[in-house]
Amino acid sequence: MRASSPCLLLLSGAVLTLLAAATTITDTIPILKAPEAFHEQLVLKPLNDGSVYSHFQFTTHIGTMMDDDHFDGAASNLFKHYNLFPRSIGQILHSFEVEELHLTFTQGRWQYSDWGYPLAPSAGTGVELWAWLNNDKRQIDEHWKGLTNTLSGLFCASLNFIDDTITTEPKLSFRNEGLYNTHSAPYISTHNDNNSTIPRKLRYGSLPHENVCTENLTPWIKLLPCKSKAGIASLLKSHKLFDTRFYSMAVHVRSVCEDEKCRVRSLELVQTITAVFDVARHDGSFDWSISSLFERQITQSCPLASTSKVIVNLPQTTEIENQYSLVPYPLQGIYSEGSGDKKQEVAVYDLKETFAETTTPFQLALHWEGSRPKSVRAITPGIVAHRYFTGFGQERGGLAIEIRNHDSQDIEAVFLDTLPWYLKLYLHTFSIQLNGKTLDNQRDLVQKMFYQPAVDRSRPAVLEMALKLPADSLVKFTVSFDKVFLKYTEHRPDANRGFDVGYAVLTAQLPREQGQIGYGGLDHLRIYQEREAGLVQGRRGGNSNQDKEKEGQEGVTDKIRVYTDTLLVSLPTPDFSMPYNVITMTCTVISLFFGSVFNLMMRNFEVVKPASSSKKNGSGKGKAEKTE
Amino acid sequence: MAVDSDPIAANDKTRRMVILSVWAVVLLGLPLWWKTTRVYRAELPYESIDQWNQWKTCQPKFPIRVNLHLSETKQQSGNNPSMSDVTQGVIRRVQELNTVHGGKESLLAVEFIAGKPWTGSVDKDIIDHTSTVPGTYDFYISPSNATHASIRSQRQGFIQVQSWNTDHIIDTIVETSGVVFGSEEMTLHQLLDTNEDTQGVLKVQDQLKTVKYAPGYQLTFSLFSGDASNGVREWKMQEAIHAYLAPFIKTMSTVSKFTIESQIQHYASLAFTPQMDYGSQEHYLTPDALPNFINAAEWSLASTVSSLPSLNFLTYVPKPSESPLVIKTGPGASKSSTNSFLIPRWGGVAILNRDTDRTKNAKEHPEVITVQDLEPVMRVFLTQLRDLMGITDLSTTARSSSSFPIVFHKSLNEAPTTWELDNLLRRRSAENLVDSLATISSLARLVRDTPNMVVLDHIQKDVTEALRDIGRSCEHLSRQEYVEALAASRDGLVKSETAFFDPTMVSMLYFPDEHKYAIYMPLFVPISVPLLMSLLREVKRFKEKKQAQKDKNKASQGHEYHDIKHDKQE
Repeated sequence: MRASSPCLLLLSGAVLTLLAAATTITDTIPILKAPEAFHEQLVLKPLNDGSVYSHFQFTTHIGTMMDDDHFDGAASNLFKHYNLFPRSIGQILHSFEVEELHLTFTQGRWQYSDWGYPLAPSAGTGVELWAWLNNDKRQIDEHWKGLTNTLSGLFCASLNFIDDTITTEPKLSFRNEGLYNTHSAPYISTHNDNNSTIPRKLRYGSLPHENVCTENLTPWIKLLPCKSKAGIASLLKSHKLFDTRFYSMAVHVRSVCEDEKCRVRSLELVQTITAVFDVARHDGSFDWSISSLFERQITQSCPLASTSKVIVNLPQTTEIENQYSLVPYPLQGIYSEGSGDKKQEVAVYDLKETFAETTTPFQLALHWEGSRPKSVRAITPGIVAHRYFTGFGQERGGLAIEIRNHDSQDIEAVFLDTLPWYLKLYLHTFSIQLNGKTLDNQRDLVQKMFYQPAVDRSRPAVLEMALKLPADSLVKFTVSFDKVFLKYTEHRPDANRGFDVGYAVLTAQLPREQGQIGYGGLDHLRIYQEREAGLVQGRRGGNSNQDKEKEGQEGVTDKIRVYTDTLLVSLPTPDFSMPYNVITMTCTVISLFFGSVFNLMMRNFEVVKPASSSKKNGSGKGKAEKTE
Repeated sequence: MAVDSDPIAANDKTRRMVILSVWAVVLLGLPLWWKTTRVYRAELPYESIDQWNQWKTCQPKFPIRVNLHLSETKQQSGNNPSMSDVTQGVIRRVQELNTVHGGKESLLAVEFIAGKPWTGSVDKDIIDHTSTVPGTYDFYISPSNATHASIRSQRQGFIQVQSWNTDHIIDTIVETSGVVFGSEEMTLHQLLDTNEDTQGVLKVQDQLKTVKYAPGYQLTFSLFSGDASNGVREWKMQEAIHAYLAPFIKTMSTVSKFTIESQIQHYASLAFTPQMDYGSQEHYLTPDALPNFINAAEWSLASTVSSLPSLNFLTYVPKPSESPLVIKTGPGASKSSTNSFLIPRWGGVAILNRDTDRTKNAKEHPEVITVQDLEPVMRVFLTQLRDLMGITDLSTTARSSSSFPIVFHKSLNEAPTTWELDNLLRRRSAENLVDSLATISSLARLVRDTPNMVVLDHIQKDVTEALRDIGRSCEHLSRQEYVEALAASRDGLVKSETAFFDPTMVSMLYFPDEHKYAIYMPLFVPISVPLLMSLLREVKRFKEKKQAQKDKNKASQGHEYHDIKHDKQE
């Protein structure tokens, strides 16, 4: 088991290749029902700076009897009778014809250079929502609006603010991850990548300013079959979760194939929570246990879950052996992935087995000798991106994006930046610097470029580029823009705070490297789910020659997304009491003018003759004398 | 000096002209300003709303046609009752009864028509000759040794009379029709009663349970499992719905459509702990505790997308520590036989206790609730659904009041019979008429009472259209077109509610007139001061001048110049 594990773990890539199960399905059976199943997992990993990374993943599969010929009948029933799959999500998928849905709430900033890549695919601060919608009936915009509004109500978030001025339709990023959905036309076949016949469309929107808190977590927990009453989810205590350096909560719905030919398909709902706990904050000790992190314990596994596992990615110590101790030591022993420098050891605890034997709460602790690690391997993420504003003043500014490729080979990546319409980009000012030198021939680096100019008050500017990042390089893009003077009512209530400009996203295929959490993404964890015994057995046994070959190759890649920081731009801000001032001022001026003119008209002016003035006691003080 | 007086008079004149013209501008401008800064209010048809409220425009009538069929069987003892005699007699008797009841015009205008005679035996011809028109019924009368009436589900009534003579037949028919339509007549009267004093009370009592009419409902069947450790994983609701609910849904589709969903919520515990009866080893809920049963905060019952009104039917499987769970008033009291309760206008709840001793049953899958397990629950839900839909069970209302047995046939699986369906059609139409009129008149009252409220044109349009729909519905009713009448009344209800709940109706309430005055204060106050002052001064001067004129007339000519000079120096 141990010896074969490296290849298993290497198996699952971003694109699923579920090969082993193929033998179990014969061509004669037209319909197969995939079992409805629920899996719960918790991944823990101590980070080098003393924080502890925790990733909860709950996967619910809705059983489907999908087949090209039996498509509609099954689909109509699928969204009527719910068991483990939450009804609220099912209704949303059904009524807005959603094929794929990804919603992420994030608070805090993911530190790529310190922590590597996260398991959760999205890590941009704020809320990110993207969905593939069926556009059969040309109602996609209504459906998208309905979707944002409904999700807004379901998760108590301001998702309804994702309107036309925010929504974009990226051309290269955010490709669909699932294979089919009940609403899509019968999917041609898995190896045919020609999706043009399927009228689905992508909609993407993000709200960088959105705060995430308990009110978003509560409805999220309600979607789980066991709520937070049993199983791993009982660790979810909002007091502790929101007192972390990074917190991210997501709902992903997509369709997956259960066999190679995609005869049996299922709808997969993946709910994740990612939190980075600052363990060393209080006393400088890097030791932690489940109860110290979450202030709760797991007293039983969720009875509805097919698998229930706690997975610890052990620290990658160097030079000195046995720097830490893991209590208790896992029954199945420790798996190791990779070898040599890239070796990553993984401890897996099966809670189903644990609670079959005992009823005492599950304990897990990691102690460092001397409370701190002596030497650990540093994390070097392949690609890191940063974005910042340049320039000063409230009239114009500039945007700079720095992408650093630490890898020793060229990497293909897609860069997506969405800028609100109130920043007017000048594309002619766009320039590229490679390692500090301005590039004249941009073609080598930017292979494709899509630019959608902004339209005032109706759509944002979108800049999307397919890049080829040279090995060990620093690529810098700069572009300048004008800031728009907004209308009085368009400002937020806290106008002087400025406007949040969302993150840019870099999607890249990175060569797999062990030891970094994020490689492999959510699919990585599927091997622990044992969804189909035969399938997993096959993988565990490593009977697929193809995969052994793959292991040997360097070419195994993982798709990751790197999110830049969100920015704050200050636009020229008016004095908000001005309208009233103007009205009052105008009124006063008009009335003063009127008063004096009126008075002038009411009065008589006559010339006083000097001769007569001497008669009247010498009262000749002016040429004119007022009469009433 | 006489030359001087002319420019002064001219000055006076100019000044007066200036004052006049400025005031003219102000006086003309004020209404203009008033009009331009005023909130927009479309005129609502108040008059016709008031008329409708008194049913002056159209009095809803519910015509009913009963075809009487006499058996052809000849009686040996001479006078066989003729069809026309019987029909005439029945009509006369009904009129007499009406005049006895204070001449109040009955809403259900039952019309008796002489139909074709029949053989006297229920054969295929009769079964086939069923009326498909709501409101048209057939009474088949035949002699028998005991008076007996049986109301078949297909708009047919079979009346067997003991003595085969005209008077007795008339009596029996009148009584039967009284039983069949009597309670409905009462209900409709209460509904359409325009008398403000009695209206509210009666309506509340009657409509308490019944959910408000909608063209479609969402039925949600939820299994709430107190704790996943009770072993419940799955239920065969889909099959149970198909087996028990399908006939009901199909029959009701002329009135309302239903969409059905089911869900399972594991770990849905009660918000409180049920009491324990140690004598019978049962946990029990008292009727007082039932309102707290629904744990609205924890149980996801609301639909996220559906705009249809939803009815919830909950099956609660208690957790092992609360099992068995029953409903009773106290320890030792007898428990509720159905172990369920109805929540008015919301849905129903049934508690399903699982057999704790599973080994005895030796079931193959103890984690699955089978269709057989669900049968009692589904029966309860069907009854509750009938109640919520407002279907009146004729047999219960009629049982007490007749002198001979009247049997009401039921249809499969509690599906409403045609009699009940017609009854429902009439009552729902009446309810819709009353509801939409109530909505419109409260809208009219609101608009009249709130002068700051914006009333846009589309509100006016909605109101007039709703009134038109109501009128249409009323006409359809009088023509015995019940299905069309219901559709029209539904349109009216929808339109009146769109108008009432229109978002523009509330938005401008935040900009009262005071706000407007405050903004224009810096203009009006400084302008009005000199205007008023000059006007007052002018009036004063005019008076003085008049006085001076008088004085001058009295005084001698010689003082004239002096006076003017004096004036000037002032």
